[in-house]
Amino acid sequence: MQAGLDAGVGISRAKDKTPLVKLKKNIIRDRALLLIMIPVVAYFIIFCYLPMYGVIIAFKDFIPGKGLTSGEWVGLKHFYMFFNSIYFGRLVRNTVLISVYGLLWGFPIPIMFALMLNELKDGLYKRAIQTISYLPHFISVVVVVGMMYNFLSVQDGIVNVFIEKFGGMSINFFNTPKYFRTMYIASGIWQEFGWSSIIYLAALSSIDPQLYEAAKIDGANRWQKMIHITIPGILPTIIILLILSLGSIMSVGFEKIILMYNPSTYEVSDVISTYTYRRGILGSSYSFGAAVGFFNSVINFTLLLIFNYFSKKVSSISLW
Amino acid sequence: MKKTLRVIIYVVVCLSLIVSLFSGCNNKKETAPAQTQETQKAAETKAADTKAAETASSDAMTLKLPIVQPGSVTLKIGTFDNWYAPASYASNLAIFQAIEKDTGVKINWEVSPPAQWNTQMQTRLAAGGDDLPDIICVPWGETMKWASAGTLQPLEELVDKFAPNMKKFFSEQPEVKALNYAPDGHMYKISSYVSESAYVNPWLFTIRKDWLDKLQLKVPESTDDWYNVLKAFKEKDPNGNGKADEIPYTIEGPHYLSRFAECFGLRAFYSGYQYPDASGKVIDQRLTDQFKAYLTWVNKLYKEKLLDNEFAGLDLEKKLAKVNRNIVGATGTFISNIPSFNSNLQKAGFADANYVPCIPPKGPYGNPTFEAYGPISGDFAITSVSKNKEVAIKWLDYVYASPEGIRYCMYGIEGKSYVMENGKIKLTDFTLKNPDGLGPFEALRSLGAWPNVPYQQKEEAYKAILLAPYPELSAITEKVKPYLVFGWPPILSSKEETDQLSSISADLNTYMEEMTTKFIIGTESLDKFDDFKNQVKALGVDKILAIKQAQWDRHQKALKGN
Repeated sequence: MQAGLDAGVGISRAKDKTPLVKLKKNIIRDRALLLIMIPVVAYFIIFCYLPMYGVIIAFKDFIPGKGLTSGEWVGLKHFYMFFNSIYFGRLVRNTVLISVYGLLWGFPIPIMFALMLNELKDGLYKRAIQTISYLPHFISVVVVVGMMYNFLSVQDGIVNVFIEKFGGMSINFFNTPKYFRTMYIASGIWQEFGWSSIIYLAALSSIDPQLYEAAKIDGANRWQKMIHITIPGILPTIIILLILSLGSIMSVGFEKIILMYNPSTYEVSDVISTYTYRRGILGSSYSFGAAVGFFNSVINFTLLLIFNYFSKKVSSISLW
Repeated sequence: MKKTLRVIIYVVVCLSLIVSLFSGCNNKKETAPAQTQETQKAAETKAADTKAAETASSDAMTLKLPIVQPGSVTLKIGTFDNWYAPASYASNLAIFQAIEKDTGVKINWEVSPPAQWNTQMQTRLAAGGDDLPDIICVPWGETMKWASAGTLQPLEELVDKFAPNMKKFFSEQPEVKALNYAPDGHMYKISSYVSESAYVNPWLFTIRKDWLDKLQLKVPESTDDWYNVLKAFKEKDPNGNGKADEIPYTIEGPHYLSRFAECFGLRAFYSGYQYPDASGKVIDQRLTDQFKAYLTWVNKLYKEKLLDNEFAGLDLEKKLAKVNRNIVGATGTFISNIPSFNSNLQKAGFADANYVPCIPPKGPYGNPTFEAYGPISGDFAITSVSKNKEVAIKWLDYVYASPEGIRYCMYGIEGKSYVMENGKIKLTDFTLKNPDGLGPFEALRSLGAWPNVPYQQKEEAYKAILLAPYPELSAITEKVKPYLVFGWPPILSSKEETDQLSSISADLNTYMEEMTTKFIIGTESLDKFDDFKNQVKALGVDKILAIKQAQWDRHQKALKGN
């Protein structure tokens, strides 16, 4: 807000001068800000933009040990290899389904949790709940999957013990394809909802309390206050986060899936990243891995652009 | 005034941040002269080496010791660290001190834990550069990749000129020699020789003898026996806790389950079902009726819960957790692990617990063969950037093939881990009843023996160390020996072969693994076996078999050529 006003003033003052002089003047005026920005810009250039050069190996037969510029140009060979795999369709479907279901269930829960926490009075109880809810975030995913193996074991996992106590048949969770996504997503939500809610709590705390007071005077009850003040107040945050997570819909990390899957559940659990891991890293076909990764990023970026565009049109909230 | 000061502070802070960002590059520049100095020094020593080498090659029959002027050359060895983790090679272990004394060569170890080795070395090799170690353990299965990238030094001439012990060993063991050679006619690597020990520590089925006795059953000798015994374990509550919680047979994942496939006349464990038939034609045995018979039998075990229904997702730790809870009737393992199965259970209060190894059971297709690991293991190479190649090959010659080197690697240090009695080697209590409670291998490895550089495993050493306290296991290995065969030999593939194999087999292997598991757990009916065969063919299995046929023929020719 402040910066925008400043810029406006700058423009009006520099009305009768050439653009170059204007620029120079602006640079001198904002020199401190610009200097402070340099490390950040340098970071992004060195660690994010320069490495992008490595993407060229997706179009080459990369020979490790001879550097990125080595190897013959092969054009889109590695991309065609991926598209022609009999598993291409299944991999894309599994990846998108896990992402979409994950988003569908996983996205609203931190928001609801933050709203509920917000209704509590500040105090030990609230703080305790908040801490307990975000603690699982710090547990390694290996441990989480290990816990799932224990709780869901066929012989004496606590879940199956209950099922049998109530007369059911014990379920072989880890070898039955239909349970895979549920287990994957539910454990993910358990681990992350508390942590993800922190950003909403921060957004909530920035809502002007005068609004609540005014609403109270107008006779609004708690529910109405939530609908008409709280949610609109954090809506920009929600939309920005939604756009960002839609932008990573084609990428499901391979670590947790590799820990959880086995050949009997490949039909729902094998995703693009695990396939790339098996073939690109274990089979050390680096060019192939790079091609799949590049393909993934392009799709993700396109999705991000599309959703951002729609959001801008519909709600005038956008990333840029 | 105040403002100027503020500006100065801004500038200083920002500049220092920028400088710290780029300091990585600066460091490199500063060290550059030091490097050149090193190179110069290396070049000087190299000149000295070549002189020494010339004198040595005139007398090629024996390896002259010390190899170099003591302390004048330091070799860098990059390999994975000691299996006995507390004694890192980096801390200059006893046998390597002794070897340094004999050879005069100092060793600089560049090691990382075994689990991280592959990735670490892959990264180092992929980064290239000339600071690679002189001797490296090549990441698993990547020898030809790095050989064709020019990273590895062809060794055949070096061996011929400077390594008399190795030369002698290779002429006695033509298969080992043939397997060291790449399709382009060069020898890029030397592997540890393990075939003698493969017979001492086979991977066998093991079963609870105490449960069998309780139910008055005999150790199963055929697949039909196995079915009956497992069924009895399931139904008759052999652990006597009143609950039907027994898991008759459990195993860590589909691969280890395939030992049963070998009872149906298949070559599964190390060959992965692709092996030449009697006429020398390489076939995929998963397309045969024998494989279908195996699947049908295992599917029956799974359905009746005689086979652990969680096997597909198990790993070794999860399996051991089950074994330790006194609910597992039978499983499979290297027989050297069996004593620890029993002692763990006995410590947990199941005093009668007694796993015994079983002879390979007879299947419907006659006596089985069990595949053993070997004849070689691990690929070690000299890098082409090494400045001390002659010294490196001589050092390897001494450690790998000289009688003294073999004795260091097998038995450790005389007077400490073994003594000589009437010209015979006798292990001491340090090894067999270690005062610190180490197992015999751990005790030897704490001295650096049984190392992670190329060495030769000797059957008599393995037996003396491993099975001396367990005569009954030793007796079993004698009985099992006739059943053991080596799997598909580790023939090196050319780069073209590797590229073709990897592009076809990625989808094929996924399909095979998935379908095999589904057939076993019954989510796919075995009526669809013919569809499975057609799909496997459609995925290009014939191309893989053609490549493997060429490799097999090449290997046979190399064997005859020797």
